[in-house]
Amino acid sequence: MKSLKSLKAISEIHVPQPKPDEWYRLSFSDRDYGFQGLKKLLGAADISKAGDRNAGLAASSEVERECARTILSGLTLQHLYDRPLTDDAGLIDSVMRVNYDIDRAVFAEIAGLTVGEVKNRLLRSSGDEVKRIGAALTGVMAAALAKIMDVHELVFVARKIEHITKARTRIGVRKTLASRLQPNHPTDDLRGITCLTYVGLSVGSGDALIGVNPAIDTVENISAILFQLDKIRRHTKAPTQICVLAHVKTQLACLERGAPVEIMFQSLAGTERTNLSEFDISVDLLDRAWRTMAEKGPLCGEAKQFMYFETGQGSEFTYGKHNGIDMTATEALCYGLARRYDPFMVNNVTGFIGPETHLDNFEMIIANLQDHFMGKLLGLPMGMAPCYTLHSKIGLEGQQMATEMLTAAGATYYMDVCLNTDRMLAYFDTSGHDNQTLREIHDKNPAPDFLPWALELGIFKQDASGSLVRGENWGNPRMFCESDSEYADLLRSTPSLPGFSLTDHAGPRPANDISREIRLHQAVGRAAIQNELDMAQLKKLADFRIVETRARDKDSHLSHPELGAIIDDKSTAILSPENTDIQIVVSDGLSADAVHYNIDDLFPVLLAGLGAKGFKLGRPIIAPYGRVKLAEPLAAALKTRCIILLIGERPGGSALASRSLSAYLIYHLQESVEQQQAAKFSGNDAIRFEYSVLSNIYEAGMPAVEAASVIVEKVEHMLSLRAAGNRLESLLGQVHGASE
Amino acid sequence: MAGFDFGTTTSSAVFARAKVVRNGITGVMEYATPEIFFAAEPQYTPYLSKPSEVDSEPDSELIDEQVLASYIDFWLGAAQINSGEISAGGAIVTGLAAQKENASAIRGLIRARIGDAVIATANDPSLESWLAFMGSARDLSRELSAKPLINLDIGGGTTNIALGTNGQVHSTGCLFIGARHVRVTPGTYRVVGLSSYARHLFAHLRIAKKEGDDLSERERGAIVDFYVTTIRHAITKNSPAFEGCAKFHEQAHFSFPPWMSESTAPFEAPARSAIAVSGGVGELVYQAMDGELPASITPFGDLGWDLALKIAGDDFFSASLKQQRPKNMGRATAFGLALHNTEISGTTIYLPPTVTLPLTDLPVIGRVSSAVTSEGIIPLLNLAAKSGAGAAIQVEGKFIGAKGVQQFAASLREALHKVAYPRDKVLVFLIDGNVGKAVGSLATSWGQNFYRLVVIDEVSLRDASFVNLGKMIHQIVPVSFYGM
Repeated sequence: MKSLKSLKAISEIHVPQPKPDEWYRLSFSDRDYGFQGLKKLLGAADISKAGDRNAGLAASSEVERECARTILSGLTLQHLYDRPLTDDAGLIDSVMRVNYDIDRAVFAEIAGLTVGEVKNRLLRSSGDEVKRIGAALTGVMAAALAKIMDVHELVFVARKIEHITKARTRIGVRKTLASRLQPNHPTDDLRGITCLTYVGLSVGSGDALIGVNPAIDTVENISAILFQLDKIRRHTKAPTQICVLAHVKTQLACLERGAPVEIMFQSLAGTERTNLSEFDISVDLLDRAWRTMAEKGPLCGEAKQFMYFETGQGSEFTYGKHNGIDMTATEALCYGLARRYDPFMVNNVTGFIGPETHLDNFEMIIANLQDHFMGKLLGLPMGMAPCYTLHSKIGLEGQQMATEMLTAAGATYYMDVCLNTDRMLAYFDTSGHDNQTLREIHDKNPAPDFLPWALELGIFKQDASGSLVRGENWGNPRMFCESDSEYADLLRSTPSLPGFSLTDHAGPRPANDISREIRLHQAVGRAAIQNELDMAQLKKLADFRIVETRARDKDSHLSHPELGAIIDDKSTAILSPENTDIQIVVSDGLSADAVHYNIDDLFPVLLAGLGAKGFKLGRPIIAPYGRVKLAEPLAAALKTRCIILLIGERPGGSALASRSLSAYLIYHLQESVEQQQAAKFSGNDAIRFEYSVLSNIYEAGMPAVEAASVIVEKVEHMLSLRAAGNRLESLLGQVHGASE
Repeated sequence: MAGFDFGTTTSSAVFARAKVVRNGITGVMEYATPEIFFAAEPQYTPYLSKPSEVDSEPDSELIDEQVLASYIDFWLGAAQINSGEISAGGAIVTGLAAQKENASAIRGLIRARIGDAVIATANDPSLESWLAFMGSARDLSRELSAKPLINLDIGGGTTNIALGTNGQVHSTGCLFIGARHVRVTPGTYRVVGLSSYARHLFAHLRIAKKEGDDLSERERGAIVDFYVTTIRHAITKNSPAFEGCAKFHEQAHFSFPPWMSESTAPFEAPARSAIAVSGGVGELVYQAMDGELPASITPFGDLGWDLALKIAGDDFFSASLKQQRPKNMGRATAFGLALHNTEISGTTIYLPPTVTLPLTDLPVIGRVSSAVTSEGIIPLLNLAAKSGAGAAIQVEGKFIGAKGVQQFAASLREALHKVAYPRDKVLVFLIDGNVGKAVGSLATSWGQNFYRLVVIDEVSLRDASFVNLGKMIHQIVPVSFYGM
């Protein structure tokens, strides 16, 4: 067990004083190339990716990128060490400081080597030597190395490193490929979670972890899921560990109440600003979580590691808090932070965010290889989740190419999201079928402590030659149920699970019928995103006016989400205060089909209801390529009290659900009294708008006509109580309480 | 969730808790994975004179209200809950206990202890049959899918029959056949008490025995043979109607649903159909099939074991009974009550501020189609207007889009206007689709017509005479039916 002393106080970690940006220059082929400051140089040295392009950091040409790489290759590690990257105020943030907690003796040996020389040394060294060098590197140094390596080099060096961690069981052992079972359910239905866990275990998944991303992050709910996972683990006797990926504060509260928090999870970002304001975490909090787990965790004394972090390129950029640092470097800084806690596992989900950070298959694949290399170099047990959303140009084929290369590179584990479709997060990750396929192609076994159990249950067997092959119970989740009835009950609660039995597999792959069904659903989802609003249909319903956003076309709308939240200058010019009660806005958002399929039923009933209530309405607006935040400048320009924004949701894995519409009800805090009350309630002094939302408006969710009636009632409450969101619900609770 | 069952011989209670979730596939709100956290050991149902004592007029016994109340208090205490926490389930007085003079009064006593949120009912044989099926054989029926399953819940006083497929009950019935119509001294066959049904049967079989006499083997055989034959007769399609003594033992007639064809319905062919048993005698049947026999005859002072052995040895029953086995068989009714009798509404019901929940014992006065005209609703509204506490109407058939909802709401609005429906009388519509708020809003012109109209959605239709609407909890309303 790592001693508590090993967490060095961050004030004791020495970081050099920042230096002013200097120019890095190179003349090549009769042209001069220059980069002001290390951040710019690092950004330009990378493969061009959407997030870096959007942040103005990517090289404008291949020549410029190669010049940046050449300059970077010639810088010594000492040079990088002496120039810590600062935040926008020019200060060293806590993430950067933790990155400097390195093996200084080894660093002293290699400080004089250039980045290029270190790369050569890594390629020539044994795995143990690579690990020794990695312990002396900061995240920025690892990122610099990643940027000058090609695909073979990223794979070749990473493959040498074996990093074994142990909680209840071990992962990371050479020649193994584990998986984290991710049985997410859209409503945290314990039956659905149980069903997906059984399905995953039956295909030999879950040897790294059974971990649920919850839909609702409350102590009560998280505890309930933890106890259910614990029950499943005991019932199946699967040798593994469990986790619910709630916020670290929630998990600490659960642990305090006795819930089995075997592994402590947290998402990390590579800048302190993102961690503090978006993830609500600090190094102090993470230290406290680590210490609590070391002293009180259920696996205390048994586990060598017990922390689990999730990262992925681009979160800092998405939140606008990247401090001018590129996506690869901020990702490496996450690893430098994660390294402090010697985690049991780290999972990289690059590709999760969307086309604003990684536009296509190539950008996603190269980013994954970089992340995997950097993480392993910095001493982390890297699990990989090359993933995608339907509004990017990344697809299943790109994901599979990434996993083939990452497996060759020695990835510790992948996700098992059943049939690739996450039922809660509306994205697409690797599956248990993928994991088994990769095991068989690359001659890998499940984790060593898990394998005897899987052999005993017939999930695997050894053939005549002693090789491990799928057993008679591979893919038979029914074996964990006491009766057909119990199994049927579980299936009845689990969406997107077309028939699942022994006959539905083709080798380690899903049977073709299942693949076709899944791919058809995805194709419909992509089409819903790409389709344009049918103006003719909308104009039959009302005398709409058009408000343009700064997103001029579908591509800019999808790649630059911020543009859809800004009113175009021309439209701004024609909007003036109207002092209405309500302004209805219709936008395609991420699914024009959602509008097309619901608006005819919803709109007339909504207008009738609002009219009957006597509200003053503005002339309805269509805003193509809009985002939810567009409501704020619209409300401000029109001086309306409330915006009803009907907008298409991001499609997931169901064709029907790609028609799902959301109604955002935004209350505009115009009066100082209500603004002060909202500020007090939220803790945000600058608050100007409050949001309520009604989602899942579609045939299989809430029918449009019912949604219209619910919106009318909700808006009536908003306008009478002058509030929205949680504050409105709280006020309504008081009203109902008083009436009883 | 709680289920209290006060039967002829024993009384039992079951407590469970469950999370309310929206089903990820159907989108319907439901109780997910109920967890039984307390199942009380059955207690003898308390009578004012002990059942084991000689009593020439056993049917005139009264249930001992004081002891029964103490049972409830004890169970609530043992389960560590207070009655206010119970939002689903209910209490039922069944079998011969329900025939007692003070059975109805017992309802008030129960309600005083467990609150208005759930049902309290007595002498509701079809509901008993439905509950026993749901509490014991529902999962088995789901496993059997389309294969029809008949559950026979055989207790001290009655045999409750329910036929279902895929976990859904289609038909119910009830016979006054059970272990305790003939009470004997434990360890002997000396008669200590006879129900009115047993007296009738003795006359029919020409058994000239009375209290204090010993029953011969032939007489005992004739009694249980009558019972088993009558049950078999009841559940065999195309059997002629009961007559004479058998007719006297029929409390609620069982018939096959008209859509069930000859090829699937006849329970002569176990391969095409299945039988399960539950209740106290049902449990003994399975014990007998497992070879677990009692240490002595009549250990419970009745003919329960004799009846169980007869069923277990009967080819008609045993051919099917040995194929599969249900769960919770001994306390099927209590389990059925706790786990299955209460549904939950959707989260967007129409509930005007003038109506306060809970609403109890609302008569369900009929059904209308979702495509009904105002003329089709008016007769039911006239009936509802005369009902003291208001009334409930079920709506069957899917609404076709917004237009379907608007048309139904317009018909309802017109009908309410035409009959001048009293503004102080509650009118509840029960709908299975997710359109409650829309129907209520449109029918009342967005609340401008001040009717006490409630529209509960996302509940399935039930053939019941009464409905209870519990208190609203987090936007949902527990809905319990009884009087089937």
